[in-house]
Parts: sequence; structure tokens; C-alpha cells
Amino acid sequence: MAALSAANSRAGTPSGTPAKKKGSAGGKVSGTATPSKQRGMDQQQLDISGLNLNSEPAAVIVEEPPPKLSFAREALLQEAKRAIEVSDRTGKKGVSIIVIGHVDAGKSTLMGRLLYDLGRLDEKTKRANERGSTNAGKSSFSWAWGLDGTLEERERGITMDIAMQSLTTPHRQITVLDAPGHKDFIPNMISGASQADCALLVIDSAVGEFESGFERGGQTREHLLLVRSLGVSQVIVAVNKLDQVEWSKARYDEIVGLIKPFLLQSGFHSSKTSFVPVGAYEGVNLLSLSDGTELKAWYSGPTLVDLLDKLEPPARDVDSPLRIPIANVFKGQGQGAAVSGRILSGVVQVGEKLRVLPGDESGIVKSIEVEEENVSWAAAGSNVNIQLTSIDPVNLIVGSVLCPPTDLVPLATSFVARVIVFDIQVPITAGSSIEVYHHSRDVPATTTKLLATLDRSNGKVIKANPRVVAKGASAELQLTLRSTAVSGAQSVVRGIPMEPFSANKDMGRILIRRGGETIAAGIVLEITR
Amino acid sequence: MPSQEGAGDQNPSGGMPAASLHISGPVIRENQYVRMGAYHTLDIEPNRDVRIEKLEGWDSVARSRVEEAIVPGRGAEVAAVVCGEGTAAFCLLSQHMTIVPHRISMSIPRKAAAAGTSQHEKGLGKFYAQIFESFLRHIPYNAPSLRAIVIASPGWIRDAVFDYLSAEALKRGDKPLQKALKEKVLKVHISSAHVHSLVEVLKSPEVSHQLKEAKFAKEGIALDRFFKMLGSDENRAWYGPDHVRLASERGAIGTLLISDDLFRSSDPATRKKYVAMVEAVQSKGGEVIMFSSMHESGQQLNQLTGIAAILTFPLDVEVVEAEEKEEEEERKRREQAEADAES
Ligand SMILES: Nc1nc2c(ncn2[C@@H]2O[C@H](COP(=O)(O)OP(=O)(O)OP(=O)(O)O)[C@@H](O)[C@H]2O)c(=O)[nH]1
Ligand SMILES: [Mg+2]
Repeated sequence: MAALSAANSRAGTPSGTPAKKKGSAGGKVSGTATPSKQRGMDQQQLDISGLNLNSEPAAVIVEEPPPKLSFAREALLQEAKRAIEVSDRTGKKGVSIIVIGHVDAGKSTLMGRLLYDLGRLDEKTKRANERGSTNAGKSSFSWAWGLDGTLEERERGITMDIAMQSLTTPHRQITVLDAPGHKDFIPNMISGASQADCALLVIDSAVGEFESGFERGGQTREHLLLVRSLGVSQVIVAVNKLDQVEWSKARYDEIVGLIKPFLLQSGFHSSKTSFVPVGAYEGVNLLSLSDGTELKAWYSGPTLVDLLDKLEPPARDVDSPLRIPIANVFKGQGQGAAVSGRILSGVVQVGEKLRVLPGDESGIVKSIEVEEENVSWAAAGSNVNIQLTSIDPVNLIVGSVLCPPTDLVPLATSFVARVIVFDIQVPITAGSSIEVYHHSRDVPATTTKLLATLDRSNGKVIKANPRVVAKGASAELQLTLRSTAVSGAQSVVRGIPMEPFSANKDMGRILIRRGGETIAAGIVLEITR
Repeated sequence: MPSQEGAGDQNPSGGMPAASLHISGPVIRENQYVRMGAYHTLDIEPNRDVRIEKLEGWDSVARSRVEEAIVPGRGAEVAAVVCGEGTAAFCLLSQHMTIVPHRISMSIPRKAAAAGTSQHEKGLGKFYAQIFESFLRHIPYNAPSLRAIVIASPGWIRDAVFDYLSAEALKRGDKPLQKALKEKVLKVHISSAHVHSLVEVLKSPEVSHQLKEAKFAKEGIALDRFFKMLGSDENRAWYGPDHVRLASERGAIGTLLISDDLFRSSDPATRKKYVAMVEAVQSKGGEVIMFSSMHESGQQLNQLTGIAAILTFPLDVEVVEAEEKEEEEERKRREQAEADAES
């Protein structure tokens, strides 16, 4: 694909204001973590290739507000950058990964087993899970119980929400987000995907199972398109349950042969995709491949951990204003409340005052936790837990965004987006009832105007004000959040925090769903109201 | 008499809406009680006779609306609890409107490695308890007119909610509630926990089977048919006033979906135009489905310009538009020629 070849490497993010150097960090950096710098790829190009839109004007770098920066912030930025440089030479790069795939592919089993093999899941817990799952008549889920923690998940043998874990490989510090595969929990999967750098796709190779997951309406395709639309460009494909097909090489090759073209077509560069045969339940080819196993007879390539160890974290936007979309709110220690989420851009430190949008509330950062360790600061790319004080917890809502009081995120009730329409059966009309997904929030909305359909290869307008937008099209749409009142007085719609893609890429991506199906993905061009 | 609808005609929150309508304007025919030209206000309320005349008589659309409205069957026919994890909307659907008397929105800590799952389970427990309380208060589960109580959700929350309600009713020895739950509850899967999923509820086989003759069910099904047609044959599903008018002029409309909002236009010419279109479709044997804007399906039709049509045969919008344009030009040329000839 022509668009993809443009995604070559170049160091750092585009340069910023002359006063201050725009640095870009590779790994996730924080007070005590061991960050590193790497040659990032040109995200701007990559993201756009994901949408197959080449016409995007060069990145407009948001100017930081007038230099009313306190010395403390400057010092912190310096420290963050120094830490990045140091770890570039010595430390482990941090990267987060979302585990995706059709329901029952073995995602949780794979992660549970991997955590155990890496020593992250202790013997006692493992035994308890074996006992518990056997008693519940679900012994085959004992590994999955390492991640499927709620009563209902265990009872049903289905992951319903994201589980977060961390593990280390020789050269990487990895945050793992185990996604649910079931169609109904795609909102949770999206929330997880928007917190991840890379993806691990798990495939069930059993006869009929691969096929039903990969066909139209299956989640294999939908998940891949979703993560790609959210900016993930590297994917490892683990072909699982090969024990079910007698470790057949032919079956493995068949599956790889079917998935490869789809990955390309979805905007994944072949150099950023890799495949690995595994048996999650038995732990085959996760850390190593022992002699004498049936797989060893025909496979001598990398193990899953070898591949994980090579994931490259994308460039981190440390210099832009702080943005943390809240993915979870819970009771932490002491007063206030704890929130978790990913730092999309900027840095945050203990003692800092943060604004919560939408709303008028602010809170003070009491502590920051990264990979289960307390740190004094953290930077873009980190998945953090933050304890906030001096705030009423009712004002903290999943989907709200934390930002500095001096650099607020705009609130949008109506905006223009450029989208790529997925393989849908019913075209999009003006006035379609849809849901807009932005990080961990989804809101009812309407396609108020179909502004234009665009040529996918060059972005030129094909038709202004089309009557409908059909599958495969690229289009510009005006989207407006919908009031939730059915009858009677129309209630006022509350805006949601988002930014144009040109201002902050991670704050400017949206997904559009309708009737339980993802129908389009896009970027915010302009906030109109 | 120029009329003006005052405020307070319906009350969307809390129980059944109390309907009353204020009409005011100058008197144009005097009688012994009111003087010519004086401004006068009338209150129209339920159970009070009123006679409203119109100089040119009432049109067919208005008359059929009145006929529909006097069909007995007051009160909510269907109650629906649309739930997600931490959210619930209590909806009451009657013949002419949907109201949402109550909503719950609670933040339940999500499962997370750091916090474990106990906060999540605790949050869920509180959520179910709140649903129970709200259910008692806002769902008239005993009312004989209430034919069905729908509990709708993605995932399996509806099962958990239903089980909780049943267990609680049993625990409290609440016989009427137990009976209502047993006889009236339908559990329906929806794809998202937003109120607009009510349309999905109404077209689900479980519900549409029960409520076949209910008007709001018909509306949801018709809208669904329109969208399905749009997917399978774009040339047989048209929307927007101009396009639908063209289709109507060509006698192509099999089903006309039209929102009652269009008949509330303050411009009489616009109203008449739509009345004429409705009559034209009916005279050609087409079906006309009038959507109530007080239901979710009507709201969705309103967003889709308020008017849409399923055609009996395919017509290409662009071809038709081009033909129209040509005709228009032809007409102009003819007029010009006639004018030239006259002069
Ligand atoms: N035979 C075989 N079964 C496996 C393997 N890996 C997983 N399974 C089984 O597949 C079933 C589903 O496993 P899960 O780990 O819950 O799958 P999942 O992809 O996490 O499912 P969801 O999260 O609900 O989408 C369980 O019964 C596992 O024991 C494998 O390598 N071989
Ligand atoms: Mg799972």
C-alpha cells in the first residue's frame, strides 16, 4: 500500500517552538522506571495511513500557551528527558500491549500461563485458581482465572472487562491489557485499546473456530481494525490451540496465509507484523520450545517472548500539555479517590493540581503509581494510577480527562470528522443515530451532515453533500452529540473533552458504532460547537 | 383564531404527564361573553368538552390523529428498563409517547489488577439495589394496562437485574411484584445501553410479537425496514422532503414514513403540502405511517429529516433529479417562447 511505505523512521516528533526543544521519548518514563529513548517512527504518517488518507496537511504543532511555565515544570521536563537518555543506553523500554481476538480464542489463558511462566503469578494463586475453577466445573479456565477476576466472568468463563497486568522480558517492561473478545464488551475493549501501544492478536486454530472468528461479524477483523484506527501499528499474531489440530504445519500456514493479506489491507505494515505458533494451555512456545515437542519438528523461529521483547514503543509526546483520559475510578488509600488511565501527552508530578473535564472540579495529585510502584512523576506513555485529594469523588467519572488548569481540553458537542467507513451493510445517512467512542467514553450522537465523500487515495472531494455514505468510503461528516431525552423538554447536551487530531493525535481519534457494530473510524478535524 | 401553544403542556418527569393546553388570541367573532378584538385565553384540559372549528375544515391527517387518540387504552402499555453497568433508564411507553421518568447513573469501579475485584462486586450490589428501589417507585408493574415489562441490556446485566428483582420480591414476600415479574417481564438483548436502543427493543422478536398491534412497535419496524432497504437497494429507500416529493409525484411510494412534527409546522402551506402528499400516497394504495415524535423511533425519523419512503420500484435519485431539471428548463423555454409569441 502506497501510504504505508511513507511510514519510514525518523527520529523524534516534529520540532516545536524554537524556545524549547521538542524531545520525544521512546519508552515510558517516570520517576523510578527505567526509561529509554528510541528512534520513533513518524506517527503522523502512520496514523493517516491507517485511515488511508494521504491528504492530511502537515502536523500543526500546538503552541504551548505563553511561557508562564513555572520553573518546576521546566525542571521536570529536563529530568524526564535526562531519564530518557540514560535509559536509552541501559534500561528496559516500556511498552503497553492489548491482547485481542475473537471470544474464546484463549487470550486470558495465554496471559495467565505467560504470567505464571515468567514468575508473575505465584504458585499459591495458581493452585487456588485450579481448585476454584474445578469446583465451578470450569477447570479448563484455570489459567484464564489469573485475569478473569470477577464472579460473573468466572461463572461464565468469559472475559467482560479489561484486566491490567505487567511483566518483564529481557529488554522490555510490558503493561498487558487483556481485552474481552465478546461482541457486547467491545466498548471495554476500545477503552483498553486506547491505552495500548501494540497489539497481540490471539487466534483459535481449531477447525471451524478460526473460520467463525475471522468471518464477517467475527471479532478477529473488528478488533484488528479497531486497534489500527486507534493508532496501534505493531501486532503479533499468536496462532493458538494448535494442539487441537495435531500441531499441523499446514493449518498454521493456512491461517497465516489468510490473515496476512487482511493485515496489509487494514493498514498494518508487514515489517510490523509477526506470527508465532503457540499452545497457551500447555505453555508451548511461550518462553521456549522444548526438544521433542511436536511443534519443534517444523518450527524453529522465535517464541512469543522473543517477539514481545522486540516490540518498539512509539514516540512519546512529553512536551505537549498533560492529557489523561480516565479509564477507571476506584477507592484508593485515604481521602479522595484513585483514577487510572494512560498519560497521552505531557508529564505529571506529585503535588500538582489537575483539572477534571468536563466540570469545574480540580484535585491535587497525592501519589502516582506506575507498574505497581510509587513514583514522584510520570510521563507520556505510562499507564498510571493517580490518587487525587481535595476533590469530591462524585466528580470523577470514567471518560473525563485530567489536564493542567492552564491548558484545558476543549469540550465538544459538535465536530467535523474525517472517517473511513468499514464493511457495513446499511449505508450512513444524514441523521443516523450512532454512538461516538472516544477513549473510555461512548455517547449517543447523530450524523448531522454528510459533508463530502473523498477519494481514499488523494483525499479529493468526490461528491459534496452526498445522500448516503456507503461501505469502504472515506468521508467528512459533521457529528453532533444527542440529548438523551426522548420526549418533553430537550435537555442540554454536555460536551465531551476532545481535541482536533492536528492538536493532539491521541485526543483526536474517534470510532463510530451503530447497532453493536463498528461502522467507521476517524479523526477529529475541527470542533464546531 | 391565531393560536399559540403555551408552556406546560406536558411534564416529562414524574409519573404520567398532566396534559393541558393554553390557547390564546384575539376574538374575531363576538358573543355575549367576549368582545370583538379582545385577547382571550382558553385552557384545554382532559375531560372538558371543547369544539374547535377551522374555516376550511380539518384535513384528513388531523382527523385520523384524533381518531387514533380516542382509542381506549390509557396509560403506559410497556415499561422498559434499559441498563448497562452502572446505568439504567426507566422508560414508559404509551400509545403516543415515551417518557423516561427516572435514570440511574452510578460509577462502579471497574475490575482492575490494582484494586482487585471486591470494589467492583460491591458497586454492582449497590447498583442492583438502586434499580430495585427505582423499579418500585417508577414502574406501575401492577397496572392492568401495562402489558409488558422489558429489561434490556447488552451482556448479561438484564439477567442479573431480573434475578435480583425476583430474589428481593421473594425475600420481602411481595406477592404482586412476584406475579408481575413472572408474567410481564421480557428480557431483551440490545447492543448498547443508551435509550436509543429502545428501537432495538421494539423490533426484537420477543417484543414485536407481543405488541404487534401497538403503534410504537409498528413505527420501529417500519424504520427498520427503511434502513434495511437502504442497505439492500439504495434506489428504493429515499429520504428528505424534496426527494420524497419527487418519488410521490412519480407514484413510486409503497410506504411513507412521516413524522407528526411536519404537521406542526407554523406555516399552513407547508402543512397542506404534507397533507396532500399523504393523501396522494394513500390514494395510490400506499401505506402511510405517521411517527410520533414523542417516541424514540419518531425522534430518529426527525433526525432523518422527518420524512422517508420505501419505493415500490427502484428509482435512481440522480436520474430523477436530472430529469426534473430538464423538465424545468423545458418548461421555462416554453414559457419564454409563449411570452415571445405573445409580444
Ligand atoms: N486445547 C486448547 N484449549 C485452549 C488453549 N488455550 C485456551 N484454551 C481454552 O479455550 C477456552 C477459552 O479460553 P479463554 O482464555 O477464556 O479465552 P479468551 O480468548 O480469553 O476468551 P474471552 O476473553 O471471553 O474472549 C478455555 O476453555 C481454554 O482452556 C490451548 O492452547 N489449547
Ligand atoms: Mg479472556
